[in-house]
Amino acid sequence: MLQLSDLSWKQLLDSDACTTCGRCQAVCPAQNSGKPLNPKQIVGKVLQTMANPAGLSPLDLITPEEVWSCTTCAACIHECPVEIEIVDKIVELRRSLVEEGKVPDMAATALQGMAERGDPWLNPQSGRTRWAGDLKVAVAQPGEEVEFLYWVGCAGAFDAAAHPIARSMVKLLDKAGVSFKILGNSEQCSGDPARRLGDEGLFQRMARENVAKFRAHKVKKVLTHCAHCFNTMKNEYPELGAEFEVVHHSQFLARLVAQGKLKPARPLNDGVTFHDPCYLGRYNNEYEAPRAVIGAIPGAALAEMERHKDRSICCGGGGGHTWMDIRLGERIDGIRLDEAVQTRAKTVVTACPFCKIMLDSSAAAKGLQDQVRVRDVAEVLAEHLEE
Amino acid sequence: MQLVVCLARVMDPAVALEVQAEPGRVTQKEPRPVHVVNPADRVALELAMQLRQRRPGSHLTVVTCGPSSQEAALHYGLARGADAAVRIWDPGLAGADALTVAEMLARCLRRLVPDLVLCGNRTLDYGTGLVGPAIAGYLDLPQMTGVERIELEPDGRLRAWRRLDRGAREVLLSPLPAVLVVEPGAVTPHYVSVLSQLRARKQPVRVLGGAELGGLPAAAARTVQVTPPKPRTKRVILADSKASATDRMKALMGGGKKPTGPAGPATADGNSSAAGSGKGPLELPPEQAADQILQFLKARGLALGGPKS
Repeated sequence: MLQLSDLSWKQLLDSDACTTCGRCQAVCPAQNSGKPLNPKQIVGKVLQTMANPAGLSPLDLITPEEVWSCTTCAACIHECPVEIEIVDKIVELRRSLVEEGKVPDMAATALQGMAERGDPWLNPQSGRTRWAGDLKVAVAQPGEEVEFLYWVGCAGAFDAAAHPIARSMVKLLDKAGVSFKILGNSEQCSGDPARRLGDEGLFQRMARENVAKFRAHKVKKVLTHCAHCFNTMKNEYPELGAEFEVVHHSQFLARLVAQGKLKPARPLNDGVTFHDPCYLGRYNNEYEAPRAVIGAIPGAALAEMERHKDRSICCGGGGGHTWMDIRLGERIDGIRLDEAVQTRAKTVVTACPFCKIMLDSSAAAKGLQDQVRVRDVAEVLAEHLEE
Repeated sequence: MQLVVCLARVMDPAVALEVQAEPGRVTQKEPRPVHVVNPADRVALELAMQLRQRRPGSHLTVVTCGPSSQEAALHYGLARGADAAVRIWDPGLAGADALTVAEMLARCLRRLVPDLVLCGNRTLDYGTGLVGPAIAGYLDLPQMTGVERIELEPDGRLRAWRRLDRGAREVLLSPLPAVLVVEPGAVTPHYVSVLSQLRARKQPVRVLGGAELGGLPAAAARTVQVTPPKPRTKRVILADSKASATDRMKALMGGGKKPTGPAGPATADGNSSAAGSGKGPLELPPEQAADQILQFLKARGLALGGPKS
C-alpha cells in the first residue's frame, strides 16, 4: 500500500500549497458528472495523511472509486492558482493499486492486451494494416531507414471510427506529395494507457521497445493523428532514449495548408465547432493548428463551444476510460456532446481518435446522428479538398 | 496447507501459426511470437491464492515443466504471491507428450507432498486437457475436474462445484490430498503488474533434472505427422435487402435460396420448421406480432405464465 515515503518531496510540498480555493473541483469533469472523485479532496486527504504521525496511507482515506474516476484531463492542474499537480498524485495512487493487483476488471483486460498483444483492445498485430484496404501505403522493411514515419496507433488500426482518419491522412499526404512509411504489423501501442492506468513497468517496457524500433529504422520524424501518442512520444519517450521529432497531424496539416500544398475547395456551409482534445490542448498548448485547418475550408464558420481551448471539457476517454465502463453519475461524453449541439454546428471537429470515438458513440446513443456529425480534422480537410 | 499449482507458458493463439512439416513443429509467425501464462492456469493460481489467504500458515509452490523460457510463468506465480517455484527440465524432455509431462510433474509433486494440486483444464495451444487428470492418475489421488468454485469444509474435506452442460452444476466433496482441474472463467485473476514480475525474477527457482526425478520415462506418444488444417470454406448467405422481412427470413433459413411462392400474411408453406405450428412466417402489425410471439414462447415454457412456469 502506498506510503507517504513513496511520494516525492514535490508531491508532498505542493499538497501543502493548497489554498482550498476549490477551482479544481469546479472544473473537474468527474466531479461535475456525479463521480466520487473530487480533486480538492484528493489534495486534502494527502495533507491529512501528512498530518497524521501514525503511519496512515493516503489510500486509507482515498477510495479506489475516486482514484479510478479520473480521466487525467488536467483541467484541475490548469485552474490551480498554485500549480498543484493533482493528476500526478492520482496516477501515483493508481500505481500502488496496480502493484496490489486491485485494478477494475476492464482496465486489467486492457493492460493484459497491451502486455501480450501490444493492443489495449486485444487485437493481434497481424491485423494492423487492414485499415488501409485498397490504399497503397509503404510499410517499412526490417532494417530499412525511415526518415518520416506515420504512426497509425491502435485506434487508427482497429477502431471503425478511426479508420477514416488514417485513410484521410494517407490521401492528404499523397496529395501533398509527402513521402512517408508506416511500421505496419510491427507497430504496437505507444503505452500511454498503461502509464495512465498505473502500470508503469508495462509503459516503460513498451516505450523502450518502441524507441528501439525507431532507432533501428533511424526514424527522424514521427507524425501521429492521436493526441495521446503525440503527447507520450514527444514528452515522455525522450527520457527513455528517444531522439526523434514528433508532430501532431493538426500541426502538420496546418503547415501543408499554409504552404499551399493542400487547397480545400469544397465549401462547408452548415456550421462547425471544434472540440479541443485534452492531450493536445492543455497538455501541449496546441489550440491554433486545428483551427487554422478548419479556417482554410471555404465557408467554414467556427462556432466555439462555451468551454473551449484551455477550458475545453474532456470527452471522457482519457485516463484509460475508453476501456473502463464506470457507471456512476452521468456520462462525461454526453455532457460534452450537449455543449457541441448547443452551438448549432452540424459538424463537431476533433483532433484525437479517442475524442472522436467518445463523441461519435455519444451522438449515436442519444440518437443525434441526424443533427450532428463528428469528424476528425483530417477527415474534414480530405472531404473538402475537391469541389 | 501445502498447495501446488502447475503453470504453463503457452503460445498465444491470436498470433498466426506456421506449421513446419519437417521436423513436425508448430511456430508463431510474424511479427513476433507471443507467449502468455495459460489463462486456465492463472485461474487455478487465483483459487489457490484465495485458499492460501484463508488458511494462514499455508504454503504455495508453483511448478512448471519446460526449458528456461518457461520460467516467465513461474515469475508470474511468484509475483502473484506464491512462496516457492520449481522448474522441471531435461533436454530429453524436448517435444515430450502430455502424459510424459504429467508423469514428470507427478514425480516432482510426490516430493512436495501437497494437500491440494491445482491445474488449469487445458492449455491454449496444444489443449490436450490430459495433464491434470493424468497427474491424479499417477499420484493415485482423487480428482475433480471442471471446477469453478471451491470451499474448505471444517472437517478438512474440500467441496468443489463442477460445471456441467447447460448450466447444471455438480457439487463434490473430497478428502485431501486431491487434484483439482480448474475451468477458465471461474474467477477473475488479480492483475499482476510488469514491475512485480520483474522483481520476482530475483527470487530463486529450484530446477529439477531427469536425474533427480528418477530418470526419464519412455515417451507415451510419438508425433508422427504435423499438418496445417484444411482451410474452411466460408459460405456467407446474403439475403436480398430489397425483399420483405418475411422473404429475407425465408431465404436465410432456406440456405440462401430465393423464396418462391407468395409472401405476406399467414402463409402456410413448407418453411415452417422454426414456427413449429404449421404456420409459416407471418407479417403482422407490431402489437399483434408481439402477442403471437409471446404465445409462441409461453407454449414452449420460455416465458412467464407459460405451461412450464
